[in-house]
Amino acid sequence: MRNNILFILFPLLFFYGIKISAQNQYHPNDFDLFEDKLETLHESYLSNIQGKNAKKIKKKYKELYAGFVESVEDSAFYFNATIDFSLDNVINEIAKNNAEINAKDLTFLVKNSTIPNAACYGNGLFHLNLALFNYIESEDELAFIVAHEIAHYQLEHNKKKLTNYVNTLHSKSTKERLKNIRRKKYGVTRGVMSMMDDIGVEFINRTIQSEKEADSLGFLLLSKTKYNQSAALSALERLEIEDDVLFDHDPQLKKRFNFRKLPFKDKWLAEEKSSLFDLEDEVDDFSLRKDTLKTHPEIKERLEFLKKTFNVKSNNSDLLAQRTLADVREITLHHTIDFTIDFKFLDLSIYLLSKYRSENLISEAYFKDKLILVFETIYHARLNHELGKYVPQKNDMSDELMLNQIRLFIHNLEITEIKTIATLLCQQYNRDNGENTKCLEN
Amino acid sequence: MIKKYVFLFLFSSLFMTAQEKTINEITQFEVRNSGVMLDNQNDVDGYYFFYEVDRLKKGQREFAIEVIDNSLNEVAKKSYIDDKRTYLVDSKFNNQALIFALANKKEKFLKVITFDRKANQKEDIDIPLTSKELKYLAMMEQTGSFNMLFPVDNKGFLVNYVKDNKKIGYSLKYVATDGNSSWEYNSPLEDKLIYTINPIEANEEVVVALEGSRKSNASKKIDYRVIVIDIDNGKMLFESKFERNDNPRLVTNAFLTDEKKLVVLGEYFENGAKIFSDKSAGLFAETFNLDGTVLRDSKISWENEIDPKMPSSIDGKKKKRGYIYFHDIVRTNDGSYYAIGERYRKTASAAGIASLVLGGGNSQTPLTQLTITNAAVFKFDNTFKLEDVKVFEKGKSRAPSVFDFGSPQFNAHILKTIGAFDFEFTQRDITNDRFYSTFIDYERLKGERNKFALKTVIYNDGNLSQDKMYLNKSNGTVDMRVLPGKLGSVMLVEYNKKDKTVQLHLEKLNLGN
Repeated sequence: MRNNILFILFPLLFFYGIKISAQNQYHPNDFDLFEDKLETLHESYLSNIQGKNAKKIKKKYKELYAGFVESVEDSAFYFNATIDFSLDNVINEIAKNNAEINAKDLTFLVKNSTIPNAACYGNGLFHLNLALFNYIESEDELAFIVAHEIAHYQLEHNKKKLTNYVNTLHSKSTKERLKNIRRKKYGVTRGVMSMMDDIGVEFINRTIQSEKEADSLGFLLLSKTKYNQSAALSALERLEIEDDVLFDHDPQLKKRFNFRKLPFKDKWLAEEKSSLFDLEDEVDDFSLRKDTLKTHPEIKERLEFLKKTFNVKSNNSDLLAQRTLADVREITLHHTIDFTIDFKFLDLSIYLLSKYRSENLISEAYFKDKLILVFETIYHARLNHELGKYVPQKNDMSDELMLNQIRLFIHNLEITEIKTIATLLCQQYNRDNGENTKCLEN
Repeated sequence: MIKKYVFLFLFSSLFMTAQEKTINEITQFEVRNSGVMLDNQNDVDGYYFFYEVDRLKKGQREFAIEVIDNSLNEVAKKSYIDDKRTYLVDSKFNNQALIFALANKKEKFLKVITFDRKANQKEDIDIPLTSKELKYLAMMEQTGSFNMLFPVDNKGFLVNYVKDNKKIGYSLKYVATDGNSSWEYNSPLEDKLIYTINPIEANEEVVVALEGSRKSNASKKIDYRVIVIDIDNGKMLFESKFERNDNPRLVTNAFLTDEKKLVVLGEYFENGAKIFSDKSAGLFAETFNLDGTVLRDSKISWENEIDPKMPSSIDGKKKKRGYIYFHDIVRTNDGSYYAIGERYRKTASAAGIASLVLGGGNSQTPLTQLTITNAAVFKFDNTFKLEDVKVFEKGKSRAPSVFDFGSPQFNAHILKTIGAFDFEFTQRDITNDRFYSTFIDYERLKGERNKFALKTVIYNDGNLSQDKMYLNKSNGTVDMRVLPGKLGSVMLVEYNKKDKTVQLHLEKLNLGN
């Protein structure tokens, strides 16, 4: 299966519901000023919504905006001066060479997420997910992604889509269809579901078209800058991720958690019971067509389109090498680990720590230091009977095989074993680094 | 039971215009009921939700049966069409099939539907029942200890239902899912007694069931017999009678050992005693061969053996057993037995007395109540000799007596059937040689707000420990319920009254705290 979630237009706004108190990188330095800026963008966007169903569209947009503000308050974003500086460079370069773009109208945020993705909100607000920085290699590739998102904004895709959605929902034909369905005594729910499915399919088809348009305009914006045009191709290629390889790194649990005083136990990875069904996917007699469709065109198709339309060619790695994102990647990599621990996505923390250590992206001392924190956090969550809220159980139907293994491991450990592992890691760390950090059992 | 809630099945309600609101209202699937699929050790195989989806012609409805596995992953959402009054009663899993029992009072039927390992629906089993039979069946279901469906792992399952014979009888229907023969075991057709049966153990060889018989519903005299049935043909292999005038006993539990011996556990009484209202004389463990030969019958009396070993009261002044209601007796892998119970006593009810005074001598409120206190676990060796009694403190809870004039034991039995005790369930983990007995604990501390907690007594590595989980959170905005989870865990259902959201999560119990 191909991953279809790159460059989404309408972000799924989810709320973490967790307040981080220590060393706050999750909120802007001046929250009021930031909120004022958001409000200005929002009001300006609202004032441009006119015509049929404008009131309904505005209402819908206000609700979406409220959700966004709530997600900012709930620490969904990461604020870092170095990343902002780097992003500003890219935005300014694009704006400088494309007269129709005013850099002051654009605000890019970085979202705490391990999925490589980006989004445009339509009002001049955008976000790039943290994980994106771990997949791309150069400022040029970042520039193409930023240009693609700006293209969505320039082409007013959000506004058009929202307008189209509200208009379709309140159109004469939809109202008539709904009326006919409701008039029937039987099968009303299925009838409405089918109607909404048709609307959903149409919505997705438009999204696919919008993506192609954003690729085109994004490329044109990029081509007027100093950035290498082939970065458009390499960025897309890097983001061509299979669902089942997104979490394909073997965390080597048996090796990493085998201590002299507490040898690895096979039962830590043992499955308790057989599953209810022999199925690879959930059986759902109520699934809709729209749920099986992809919101984005296949990457291969997008690459072909760019190559054919603009005669763009791959390579020219010399230029890419001149503008690496090393400093930004260093920051995002470490913060990715930090936020998974802060938000208690502890299965992800172990996965990422193990992956980055195996790839030599982090030092052994850093790896151990963070792993101690992860196990101490697991210990306290288990003690308070809330670990299950943060770390899901394994799912036999999921492609996330390695995450499943970590989840099984975490949930199979007894509380005393968690405490012992945290302590042994801590003692090892102290020994290796000549430190005297306080360990859990001390 | 899981709190009934409206589940927005398809469309987010977060951002709604009036048109969307209409659509959302139409596409809301309301949960009719839900439940836990438990195996014979009370381990959880999964959970089910039964939704009404759509109105169809001729009084039919489209329902959705949603199945969630024991790791809380949604695995199937199946469409099911039946009469509008059909409701889902029970569900079990036997490693070969997922089984659902559905009932309909108006159309008078009990129906069993099964899904194979590929989630394909197999042939239905229709059991026509009379209104009287359904009424009795509903009464039995309410007791909470009645097994309408009983899985036989990798072989089949038992359906237990009521038959309107001369008086009231039963039918135990075995349905094979492994291709072997199915059979029925029925109570005598012409007998003028009320018969009930409850399977308590079934494996690849036998079914062990506890049969009760009494003259009328109001009768305090009840005779029990344990019957052992051949799983292959439904023929009775042997029975063991516990009659009022000859060896009256209250069977709490029964199981088969690895050596294919049947062990029956419970309380014994003096001959002539009414087991529901008289004090028991002690506890027993009787071991049989599968041909019915008694290999051992161990008894241990309250007076001579148990009372001297009872720990002191909290004030340390006296050793006092009081009354103990036994919920379960389990055997661990080393052959020891553990009886899990709760202490209770009959006390005056302040509410009842106040109501009597204010009502000028006329009041329906009972003057007495049962005060339920600490959990007690009795340890016996493999010869059923009492070795130790451990008391686990928990807060007092009170339940108004059903009858002011009845004995405390009789009231306790009645109150047990309506779930008045704090005991929730015991899970047995044979692989790791553990058991978990879970109670509700109403904690009252001076100067603090009363707390509501879940207390679990855990047996592990030969030792008993306890784990406590507080269930009051977020100043009352979150309503918490506890359901059994997979072995060693509980499922917490958090209903946020403000956001109207439900969060389910599994939490592992902590050993050795």
